[in-house]
Amino acid sequence: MNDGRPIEERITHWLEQEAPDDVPNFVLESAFARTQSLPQERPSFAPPRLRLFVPSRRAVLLLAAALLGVALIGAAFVGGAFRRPTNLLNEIHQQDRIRIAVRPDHPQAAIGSIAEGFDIDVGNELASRLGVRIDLVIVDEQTMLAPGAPAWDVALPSTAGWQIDAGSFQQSISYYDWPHRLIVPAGSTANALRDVAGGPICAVTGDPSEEWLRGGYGGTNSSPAAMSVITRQTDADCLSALASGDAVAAVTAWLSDADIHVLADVRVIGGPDAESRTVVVHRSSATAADPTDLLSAVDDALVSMRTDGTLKRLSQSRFGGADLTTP
Amino acid sequence: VDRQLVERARGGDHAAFEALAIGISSRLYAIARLILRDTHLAEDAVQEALVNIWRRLPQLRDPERFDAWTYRLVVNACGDVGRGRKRMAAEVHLLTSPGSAMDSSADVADRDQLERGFRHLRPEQRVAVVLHYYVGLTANEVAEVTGEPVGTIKSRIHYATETMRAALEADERPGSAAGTPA
Repeated sequence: MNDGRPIEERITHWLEQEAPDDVPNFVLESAFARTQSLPQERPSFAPPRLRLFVPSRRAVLLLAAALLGVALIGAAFVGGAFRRPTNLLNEIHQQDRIRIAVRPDHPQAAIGSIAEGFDIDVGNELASRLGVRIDLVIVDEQTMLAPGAPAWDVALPSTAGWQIDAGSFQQSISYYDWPHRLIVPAGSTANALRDVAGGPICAVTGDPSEEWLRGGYGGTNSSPAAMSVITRQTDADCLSALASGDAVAAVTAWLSDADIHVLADVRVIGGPDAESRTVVVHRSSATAADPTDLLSAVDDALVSMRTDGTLKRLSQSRFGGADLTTP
Repeated sequence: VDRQLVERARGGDHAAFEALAIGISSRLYAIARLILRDTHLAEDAVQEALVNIWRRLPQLRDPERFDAWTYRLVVNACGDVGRGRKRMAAEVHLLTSPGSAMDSSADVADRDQLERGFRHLRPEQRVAVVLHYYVGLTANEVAEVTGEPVGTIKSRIHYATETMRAALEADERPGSAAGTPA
């Protein structure tokens, strides 16, 4: 609609309307928690000025030869010719500490002065079974799995295994399976996906549930029907879309069965297979300690935790009584 | 900005840094959210920017440049998280939203069309648009924040503005289909 205002004014007005109000508290809390133990980078001072001298040609040639030799030896070391990678599990035991990365949000319930959540419980149990103390590294999922991520020994990203870069990371056996539920308003006549296939169906942007609707869940074409998909930023936004009629159904991202159970105005009519979640280690490289034994030890610990009921107990205590650890 | 707070934070005072961070975080969050068009990525970007502000504060030579310097860090963080998830260019299906009772009909129409035009912009154009039109920086100041030539920034602002103007005008033509997915 042309209301006569200059385009610049209309853009500025739109941006001001679109700007959010305040940053969520957890963002500040997470940043402050990270900076508490983070040293500042002090500017380096220039070295003392050296007296200028002009070397002879012979000296220059000798120096160049020496530098070339040092460089070749250095490259050989970096390339692993003179050094076998150390064993990461041994290093962890020698240091009596394991750095375990977890994300600050789901499936953690709260991160403030006290960290709480399912992955933190599992991390503590893993450290205990490996016989070492734990250093929690709380970092968001993207940073955790990005190149140059903060140093950690194992990570619990709580994301779909098929979304993790197999070229950079290795994964343990699954320790829990996260459900995605297809929900409709309680008064809807739909009873299966085919009944709402005309859509639109709401999914949280970038979540595996969106991939499911678009046919890319688990890297395979698993969607049984052509879907009209709308995306929102959170489950709450999708529930709003459901309530307003903007969507006829929604697929949940972070809502557990217990969460859904207390929502009187929706019901579950289906959904994709639960999403397997794993513990992650860095893939072996020539310059890093070998994680093979560590990954085996993690697998053993997870099997043991499943066998003795620990995983089930932790799940039930964190997910409203639901056991998400039994396939 | 409180120069004394910056000086204290630069010296390693956590309380001063937290007070500074609380003061600037809403502005940084708005910038990140506008550039990235994604709440979660914006939260990540602000967190990374705040951590980097703490780490690199001792390297800030002139505390008077603090605000512009924080814009640079949050813009860099937006680039990092955007590349991580490749969401900045993600296809988004727009629905015509009814708008709030406070919105005028012109605002609602503008919102949908400007949103559509904005999503067609490249990330570096979005940065220029947000810093220029929302933060209110001149082209010279945007160039200082992004570390790019002034001519490049002026060009980006020009083409971005024209792209958004075209999105508006496309909707204003008779027979256009409002609400078509971008």
